Amino acid sequence: MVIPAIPPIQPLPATPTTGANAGGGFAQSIGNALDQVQQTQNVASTAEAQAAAGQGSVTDAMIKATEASLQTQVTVALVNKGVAAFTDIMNMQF
Amino acid sequence: MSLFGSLSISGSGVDAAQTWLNTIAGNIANMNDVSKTDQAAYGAQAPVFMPNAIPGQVGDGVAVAGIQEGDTTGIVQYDPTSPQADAQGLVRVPDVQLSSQMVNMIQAQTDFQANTSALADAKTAYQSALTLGT
Repeated sequence: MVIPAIPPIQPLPATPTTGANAGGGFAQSIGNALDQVQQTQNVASTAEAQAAAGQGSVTDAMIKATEASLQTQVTVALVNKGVAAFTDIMNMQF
Repeated sequence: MSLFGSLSISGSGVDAAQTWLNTIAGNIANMNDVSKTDQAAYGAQAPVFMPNAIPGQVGDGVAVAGIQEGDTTGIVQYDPTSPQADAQGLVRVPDVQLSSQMVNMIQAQTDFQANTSALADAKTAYQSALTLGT
């Protein structure tokens, strides 16, 4: 009888840090989203600086800037929706 | 970025069209090159496009797999005044036709514009998604 070898221990999957279910609630979600927006905008800034210095491509810089702009719009839209929901609760009449 | 996938796909298309335009510009610039008859003439360059899968995303981008160099045989013609001319007064000039290069350039320009147009439409679509429910 051949006993199969014990498989190696798999590492645990990384804990998700973004999203509303991360445990931090609404403020944490907004913070994470804004962090990501900041990161995207930094990437866009770097690409624009490279394009201006003649080292990167202009199209690449424009696309990264568009991505940063869109991501900002998404985050702002979601935050506005969330805040509107809070305001609705706060204005509830008893 | 998987959130705005079509932006990076269109971006790869714009980059590819730019490479195409660059090779055409090089072909037109080198159209009047003259070389000795025992040397190779300038060969017209053309990019080779291949689909390029972007991980975690539906739809392939495009990548330039390589630059194909055309026939370097060229055309031998009589030009005894050229400093490159051999004893018989012959020189070798590239076999690059300006008309076909211009047609290629129209194609490359349309390719570029189509990709930027797709990118602009995708951006409009993403923005209109944000107005859902308002």
